[in-house]
Order: sequence, then C-alpha cells, then structure tokens
Amino acid sequence: MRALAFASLGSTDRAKTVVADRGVISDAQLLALAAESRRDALDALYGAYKSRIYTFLLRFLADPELADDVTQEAFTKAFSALPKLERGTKVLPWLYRVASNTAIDHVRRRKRFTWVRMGAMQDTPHEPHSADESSAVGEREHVQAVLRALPPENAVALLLHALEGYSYKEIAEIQGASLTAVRSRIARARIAFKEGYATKDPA
Amino acid sequence: MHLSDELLSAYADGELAPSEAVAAAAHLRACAGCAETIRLFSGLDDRLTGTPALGCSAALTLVSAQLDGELDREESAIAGLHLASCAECRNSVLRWSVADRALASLAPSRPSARVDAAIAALGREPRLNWGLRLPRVVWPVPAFAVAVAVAVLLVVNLSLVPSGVSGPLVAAAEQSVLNPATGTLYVLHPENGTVAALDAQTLVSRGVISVGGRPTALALNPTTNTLVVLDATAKTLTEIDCSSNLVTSSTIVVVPGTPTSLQVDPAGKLVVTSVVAPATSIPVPVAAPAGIVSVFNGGTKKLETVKSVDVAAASVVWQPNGKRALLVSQDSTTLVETSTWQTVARYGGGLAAVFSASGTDFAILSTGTDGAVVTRQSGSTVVGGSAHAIAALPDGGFAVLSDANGKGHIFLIDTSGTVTVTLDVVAGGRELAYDAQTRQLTVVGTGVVTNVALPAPAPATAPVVTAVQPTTPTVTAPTVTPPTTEPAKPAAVVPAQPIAPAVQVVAPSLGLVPSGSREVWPGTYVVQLALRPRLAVSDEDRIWMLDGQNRLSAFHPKSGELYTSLAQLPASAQIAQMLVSPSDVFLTDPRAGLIYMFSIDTERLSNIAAPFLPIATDLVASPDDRLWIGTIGLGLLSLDPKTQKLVTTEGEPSVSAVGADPLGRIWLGLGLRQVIGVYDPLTKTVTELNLPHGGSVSAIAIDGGGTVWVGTDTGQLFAIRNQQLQGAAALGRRIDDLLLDAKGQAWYVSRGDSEVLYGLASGAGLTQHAARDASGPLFDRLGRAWVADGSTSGLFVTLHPGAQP
Repeated sequence: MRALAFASLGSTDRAKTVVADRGVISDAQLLALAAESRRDALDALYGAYKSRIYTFLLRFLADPELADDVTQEAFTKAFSALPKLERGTKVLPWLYRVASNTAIDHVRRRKRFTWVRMGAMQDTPHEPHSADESSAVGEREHVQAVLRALPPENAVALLLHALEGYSYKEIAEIQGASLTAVRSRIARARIAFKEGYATKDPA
Repeated sequence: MHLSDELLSAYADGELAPSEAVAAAAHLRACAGCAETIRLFSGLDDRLTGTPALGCSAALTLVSAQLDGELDREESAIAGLHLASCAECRNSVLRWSVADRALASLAPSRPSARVDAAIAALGREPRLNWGLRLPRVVWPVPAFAVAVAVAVLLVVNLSLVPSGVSGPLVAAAEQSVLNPATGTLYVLHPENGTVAALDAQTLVSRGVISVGGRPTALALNPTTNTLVVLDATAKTLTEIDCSSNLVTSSTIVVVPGTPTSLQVDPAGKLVVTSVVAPATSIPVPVAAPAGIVSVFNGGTKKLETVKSVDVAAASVVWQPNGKRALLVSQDSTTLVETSTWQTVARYGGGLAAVFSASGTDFAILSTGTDGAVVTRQSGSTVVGGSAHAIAALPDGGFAVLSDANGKGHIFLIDTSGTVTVTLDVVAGGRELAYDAQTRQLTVVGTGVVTNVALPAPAPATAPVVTAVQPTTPTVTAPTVTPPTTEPAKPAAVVPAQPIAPAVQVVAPSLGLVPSGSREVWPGTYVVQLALRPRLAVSDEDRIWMLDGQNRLSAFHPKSGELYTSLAQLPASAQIAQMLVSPSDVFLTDPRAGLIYMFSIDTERLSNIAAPFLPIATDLVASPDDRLWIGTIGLGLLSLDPKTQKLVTTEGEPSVSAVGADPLGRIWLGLGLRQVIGVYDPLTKTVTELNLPHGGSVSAIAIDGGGTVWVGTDTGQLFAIRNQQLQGAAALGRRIDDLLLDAKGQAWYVSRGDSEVLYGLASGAGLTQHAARDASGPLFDRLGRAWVADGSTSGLFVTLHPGAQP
C-alpha cells in the first residue's frame, strides 16, 4: 500500500521536495507519508499549513505570541495524532479542528470573571469593549475587538467561513456541531459586528 | 388551545426555528390570549402588527445563511420577505459584507521562528515536559541548555549568624551541658521552655530547640549522642538528637516526689533524683526528707530501678568508670556504690562535685566561712568568693568558678591542691564546662556565655585555632598559586554540620528577566535549579523550598542566590504544608503531629508538638509571629512557637478558613454557616458578619488596602470593606487559597485535578496556569510570580502575572 501511494511521487524524498517547493500536498500523500514517517509527515503538514493555521489563530486570538503558542501546541497535538488518522481524512479541516479547539481552550481558560458591585445591581452592565469603540480605532482593530468579544465558537465559525470559505457543513464537521448551530453561530457573529458598528458610529 | 409560555418566550427572543416561528406567528394572529402573553414577554407589540411575523433575530439568521448560499428555497423566501419589509435588517446585511471583507482582507501571516524550531525539533529530541500545562509548550533542547543553570559559584561564609558575635543568647541559664562530640554547648532556658545550642568554640548560636513546658535539667547521653531534658513539673523526659538538634521523643516518666536532677550514667542510663517531701501537716523530725534515685533505660525510658538514698540529692556525679557516684546536696555529699546505691562514705554538703579526669580523685565545691572551698579526699583548698561551679581538668586538676566583689574568677587547682592560675571572667557565671578539644573553659550564666582559653603548659605546643575550611565547592581559576603563609580568615568558620549548606548565584535579575533563564512561553521563564522543590513558600525576599530529601533551601529572586541545604529535616518527616512568618518558616507534619520551625534569624531548625494538625483546615501566621490554626472540632487555636503555648478560643468548634489582618485580628470562615467571624485577640471576642454564600468558606485574605477577600469551595469570591460587602464574583471553580503579593494585592488560587489556576482577585488581568503539583504563586518585590515545580528542577517566573490580556 505504501509503495503504491508513493508511486506517483517516486519516494518520500520526492514528496518532501514537492511540499518544500510548492507548499502543497494532497491529503492522500500526507496520510501515506504519515504511515511512512510521522516526522516527515509533520514537516509536510507544517510546511503546507502553518501560515493558514497561524493566520486563523492570529485573527481569533488577536495576540501574535499566543497565536505562536497555540500554533505550536496544535501542531504538536497533530503530530501525536498523525498515526491515528484514518484514510480519507480531510487534513486541513481536521487541522482546523485541532487548532480551534486548542485556541478555544485557551480563551476559555483565560476568561476573566466579572465582579458585581453590591448596591449597583441595577446599573446597565458595561459592554466589555465599549470604551475602545468610542475612540477612533482602525478597522482591523475594530474587527479584532468584536471577534474577541464573541463567544469563541461563533468567532471560529465566522473566521472559518470568511478565511477559508468553508461551507456550513464543513464548518459543522470541524466544530462537531449541527448545521443549525453553525448557521446560528455565523449569524450571531455577524449581528455582533453590526452592533459593534452601530456603537462605533452612533450618527 | 394556547401555545406554551416556553414556546412564546422563545418566539419573543427569536429563538424558534423558522418553521416553528411561522406557525407561532400564525397562531398569535389568531389567538388574542397568546398575543397578550407575548406582549408581556417582550416589547414586540409594534413589530408583531407592523412587520412579518418573524423576529429580526431569527430572520437575520436566515438572511446570514442566505448570504452564504446555505438556505433552501423555502427558507430563502422567508428571509427575503423579512428583508423586504425591514430596513434595519437590510442595513445590517450591508454592514456584514463590510465585516466579511475586513476579515478576509487581513494579510496572511506566519508563525515566528521559534515555533518553526519547536516543530522541527518535535520527535527528534527527547521531549521536555516543563510541567506547566499552559501553554503546553514542547521546547527544543538547544545544546547550551545544559549550561543554563550554571552561573557563578561563590565561596561563602555560611556562618548563619553574624560571625564573631556572641550576643546575649542566654537569658536566664540555669544549666548547661557541653557535647564534645559535636562541639555544641547546650544551655537550658527554663522560663521559655527552650534549650539553646551554641557552637562551643565561637558561641555562635546553632539554634534554639523548643521543648515546651518548664524544663529543669539537662543531661548529655554520649552513647546515643542525645540530650535529655527533664521537666520536673510535667515529669517528662524529652530527648534531642544532637546531630540534628531536633526533638525526637518526649516521655512521661513515673518518678516519686519532686525530681531534682537528671543525669546520664556512664552506661547510658537516665538517672533522676527526687525528693519526697513529707506531708506538711505532720511535724517532721530532722531526718527527712528522703531522697529517691530512679534509673531509666536510656532507650526505652522504662523504669529499671528505684532506690531510696540517704541524701535528697541535688545532683549525682559519676566516677568515669561508673562504679561509684557522689550524691550532692546542701546538707551532705555521699559517695555511693552505684550497683546498690549504698553509702560508702559521707562528706560535708556541697553545691557541686566532680571526679577528676582519672577518676581516682574527686572534689566537692562548697561555701565555707571564707568563701568557696574545694574539698578533695586529700584536703581542702579555700579559693574565696561565692562558689558556683567546678570542672575537672585533664591534668588531674580542677577549675573553680567563683564571684567576688562583682568580678568573676576561675581558679585552676593542680593535683596537689595548689591554685596555679587565676583567670578573670565576667561576673554572673553559674556553670563551667571544659572542652578538651579546644582547651577552653566555657562560663555560662544569666546573660553570660563566654569562653576562656586554658593557659598552655609551658613546653606544650601552642594551641592553634584553625578556621575550618568550607567544603563548599568553589569555582576559581585553575591557576597554580604558591601556598601562602597567610592565616585563614578567622571569620570563615563553617559550623560542623551533618549537612553542607551551600550558596550559588543561579539567576540574578538585572531587569525582570532572570539571567540564565529561558523563556518557555511569552513572559514566562524557567530558572533551572539543582534541586526539585516539592513544596515552596515565599516571604518578601526569599522563596523557601523543601526538596524530596526534606532539605530546606532558599532562593532570593532579586539577587538570584540559591542557599541550598539550610536545614535537614528528618527523613521520616512528611511535610504537608509550609508557612512563613516574619521570623520563622513553619513546616507541618500532620502524621507525626509536629511543626518544624526554621528560624530565619538563626537559621536553625527546631520542632514543636502539634497533635491537632490532622484536624487543621487552615493555618496563618499573624504579624506577632503567632500561628493561628482553624480546626474541625477544636475551633480556632493559637500557637506561640516561642513558648509552645497552645491557646484555644471560645466560639465555633469548626473553622474552615483563617486570615490575619494587619491589626492582628483573625478572620474566620465558619464553613457552611452564612457568617464570617472576626476574632480579636485583645478582647478575646468573636464578631460575626453576615455573609450569605454558597458552599463552605475555603480561603480568607486581607489585602494591603484593608479589603477582606473571602473565597468558597463553590467558587464564589466576596470583597468586604469596613464590614460592608462590596462585591461578589463567581469563578466557577473552587478557591483554595487567597494570597497577597508584595504590593498587597489579593490573588486567588484554585487547584484543579490537572492544573493550578491563579489570578488577581479583582478580576483584572490574565488567569495564570501552573502544573498540578506546583507550589505557588510566590510573589516577589518586583511584581513577578514564581512557581516551584517539583516535577522538574525548575522555578518558573512570570514577569507580569497580572497583566491585562
């Protein structure tokens, strides 16, 4: 089987060369390579997808260093999971799943708690980023701020759609959620953008 | 038939599936009752009549999906219907496209080189698990990593108190004993229940051993290298291991009457003399009182012999071969056969007696009409003054300590009974000991400890006081230097220790980043140590660590100095918790019921009995150095480590958490009770404040601003100021600890199954993560948070633990 898989490439070295040259590798090639050498498969995987995964994580986390950490952690997880991948796995969606779950873990874990002031219970709760938005911040910062304030699943769904153009079905597979849930997540994320914009320019 | 409230509510919130929403809207148009209900649920009246029956929120979900081509024809129609009639939603959709474009237009980026390096190293190098779970960084091992921990090793004078200072270590000495094997002089302090251990040569303190109660006598057991302390009131024998200076046992002994002295005979048996006072109501003839000698097995402390003797002995002095002994009392001194305790000869009364070095002669010190008199078998020598102590000298002579006219004198008497030398010493000495190794006489008294060198016999070689060279490895340039004739620095005296303390500079911090450390993830660095810190606690200047071998070490975060093996706890000790007060580090051993106490000033270890530890819930040291212990069953206890006085307080029997405020008041969590207690040690009263909360109070801390923070095991956090509840927050996880940093800010700590989380109690900044078994956070003055991780040989430091994300 292994020999067969590499018939089109000639050898694993050839496969690596292809990846190195073009930064692309087919899922079948990668899975075959993983069976051959997990180490080489990681190189191929990382070379091909590091930029996309990192960009996605950077948008989602809005913190270059944290995005670095999560990228590293995601590929580390992928490395250990490589031998377990079944034939027919769509590699990039799988990688997005690993990366987004890792990132959501981080976001969840660093989520802060909110103090409720005694005697001030009637006060309208402050929007977490309203202060930022009242100032003139750039478009990018604004997008980032809105993303950060979203429930992480919603932000991930919207990002996967916007960055990769994944269909709702693909996003549902990546997120392990229902189609309805994905639809709702994306819509809610967009609505949040609308509201964010409304706050931004009240005129 | 009406729609359920649940369904109506979901409809009002736009939470229904489109098909359900359409059906619901149809029903609402037809059913006045349901329409009224939904008006109550929401302010949707206008929309219900004016716009198609689909909430904007539900409609927008469809519109959003339609935009992405993810709708079927029927749904598209509903979405289109809504958009056609709702300008607001049309506006929204326009904005979405802007947002989508903005998202997509962000330039692709790539991870930094360090991630490339880490991934490249995966599976190639042995993986290093740094223990901290977040972010689970697997770091490549650069070749230089092994050298990271090494900085400069320094030669140190580890004299643990300022060397050369023989301060007022003795408050009210009544008895002292020299242990020649370890060169330690033990001085009894009955008033505070301690035994001070001093370096016999330098008189530098080697620690204060707390024995509790009111000890009355000391004796050295050279065969077991232990010191035995008698408490005449409690009738206990406490044994101290002279190699570690730790209390190893305390036994209640059955002794008739009132014990007057404790001795160890040459066979290692413990001999307690006591006086049986006659009942005072009966007029007593002159013959009484009777003396009793009780002999105990030195190991088991079992009573072996009880003998009645003629003399109510104040002390017993053995012949070196153990065959005979002198029973010394004010009235008479008797020489007895120790096998039978029968009197062989009777002499006049005395203060003290001693056998000569050879054992053939002895001398009794007493006070005659002309002052101090030394009586030997061959005759008497009057030295004058008020007699205090006598010691045997190796040449067969004796040394006598006496005071006259406010001056102290030591008279050296040779075998013929002639005073050969008179030495002046400070007044107030009560005890005299001779150390054959150093050829020094040590005088001990109230506020007095002094050494006097014995004048060398004329032809003898001059005694050379050599500084013991430290065994600490030193890093010096390997240049060959000719041997110098310079004498060693007299200050560089390293006390003879069973362990070898050492110091090295591992990671000084010039800025915030410790030099020689490595960044394991952004903002967090690891300082490699040569030890695995199993437990750690910090004060403002140091991180105190206990390693797996029960050795105590200290790391100074600012200077980067690591003092290893400051103290060695017994291997059997199972330390559960460490605690630090301004003057002591406390280590609790609930299994043994002991609290080990390391004095920061004297750097000596002692221990105190703490049988309540197994029921203790929380411990805190108050500003006055007292320990406060919350217990289940005994309520709040306070323990004064100096006096070992354990005090119970009236009030609740179960205290789940304790915190000390700067005024010395103790704040109490009372478990499930919906109140917080405040105990004021001055008034000895507890004030209760109402605090409705979930679960049981698990932690209390009072920050620098006077805010009291209360955490519960259900994850609730409360802030109380001026006895008013200021705020509440839900963390969603058990709060195990509330700590203060150097700035006085409060931090919560939550120890989960897989990791430790901590963060500012105010909720500002990031939540930090540490490995499950890690000790910390330990805050330093620079605002950094350290975590000691026992699974690695490392201290992790987070430079800005409270930073905003």
